[in-house]
Amino acid sequence: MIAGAGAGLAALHLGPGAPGAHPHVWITSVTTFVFEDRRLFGLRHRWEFDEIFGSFVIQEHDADGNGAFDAAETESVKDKAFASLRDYGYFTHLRIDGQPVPLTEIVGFEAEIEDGVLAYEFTLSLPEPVDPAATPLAVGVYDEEYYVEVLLDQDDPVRFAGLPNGACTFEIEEDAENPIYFGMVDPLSISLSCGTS
Amino acid sequence: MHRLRMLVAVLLVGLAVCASAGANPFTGRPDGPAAEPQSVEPAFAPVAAVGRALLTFQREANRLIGQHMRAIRDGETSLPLLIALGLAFTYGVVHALGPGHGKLVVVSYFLSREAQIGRGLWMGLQIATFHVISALVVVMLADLLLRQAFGGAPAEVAGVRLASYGLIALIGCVMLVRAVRRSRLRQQGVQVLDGCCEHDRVPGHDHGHGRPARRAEQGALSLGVGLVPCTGAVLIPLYALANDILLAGVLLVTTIAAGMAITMGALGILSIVARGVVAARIATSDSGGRRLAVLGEYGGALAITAIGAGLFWAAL
Repeated sequence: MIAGAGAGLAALHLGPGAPGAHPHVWITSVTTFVFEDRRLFGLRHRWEFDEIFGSFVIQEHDADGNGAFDAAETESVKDKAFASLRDYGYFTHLRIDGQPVPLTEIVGFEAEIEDGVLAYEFTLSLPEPVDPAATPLAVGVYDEEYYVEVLLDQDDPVRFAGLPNGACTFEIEEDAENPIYFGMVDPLSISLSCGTS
Repeated sequence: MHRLRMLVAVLLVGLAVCASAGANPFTGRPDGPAAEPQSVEPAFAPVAAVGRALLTFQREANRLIGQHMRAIRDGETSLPLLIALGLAFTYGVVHALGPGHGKLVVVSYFLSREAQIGRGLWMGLQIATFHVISALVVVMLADLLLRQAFGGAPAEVAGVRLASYGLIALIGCVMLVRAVRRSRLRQQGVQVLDGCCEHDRVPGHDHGHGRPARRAEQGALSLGVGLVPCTGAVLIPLYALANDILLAGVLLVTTIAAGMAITMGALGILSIVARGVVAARIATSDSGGRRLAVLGEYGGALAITAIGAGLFWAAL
């Protein structure tokens, strides 16, 4: 009986990757949906980090310690503290018509320090542009493994670029279908509704 | 025993040699790009609610600890330090409640061994102590050697993980070998004596006592569990270092570890009590008690070996 319980407990935790108590990093995210001709071309994220982790990155990469990243320092941040997020899909879970679409192409990357707070800004290109008026579309920004807790900005989580005002609206809901972190967390999902022009 | 020590030494030396990234997403993924997202079953609602409350607490605690550390840097020493220490302690208690293999090892161990209540708390303290030492060593290493290697990486140094998991698997194996040897001796009709109790040496006395917890075994397991410092325990002293308040950083990490010791210790005690209750129910006859003892011995040894080996494999 004890043997069974022990083995059961062990099996439960022996999935891929070592389980650990998480999270360790916090990100506050603002996502801009970038449009052209009513079609969605990309997602631009602005991520602000918690000060403890952010300070660590700043310490490592602000080589001259002037409180700002120049081009070379930005490159160093991109290489050593950002590029590997590709393996995590940049924490961006896009579903077009219910189907997951992996995003791998980055356009532009900026790292800045504002009042000691570290922020990244970058755009993810869609493999093909999409018209959200015709095809339903939803985005979740989260780390399934929960090493990082991504929070959507409280006041202004979603913006639109390249669209007339009010052409699209967004709704944020908990995605109870796809819970993460041992089934304890329902990640937030941003869905768009756009009128046909 | 000598050979065991040699192996542990080899594992520990391994730490210093290899240093590559681990599970920190900002430093890369050990096993390449993620496969299709795995679907996870929703957790039992009350568990999920508690889990989310703990997440909220950790988020706020992290923010407030950062804020108070800045206040300490700016010279307001006493009050912010007290508040930060209080937060750090609670953070330790809460953080150790999260999913992790350490708790499984503690539970498996005490289900397999007969131990006095105090041993549970003692193991929690041992793990926490190794945790602090390991975190501070890692921070110093990070400062001296790994400046260029970015990462939080020091916290995730693969060698440390491998040594830690290897050690756990190794102790599991040792426990297993001991269990087998004991069974053989018993089959041969040899009296098995473990020094579990005072009437130990009375001839013909081999009733339902379990295997007692050995100090060396428990210590080595604690080392195995405590060896990998959690990222939080490394980031906080690094932040302190960045702000030139290293002493406050050391105090904070020690306090976090003390909080973790409470959680781990409570879990150990719970396991010891649970084993005692089950034993008292079942052990009405000598053979029932002995069967439980043997089952527990094998079960615990197997579970600890499996946890260590599984994690070792995953970390390779």
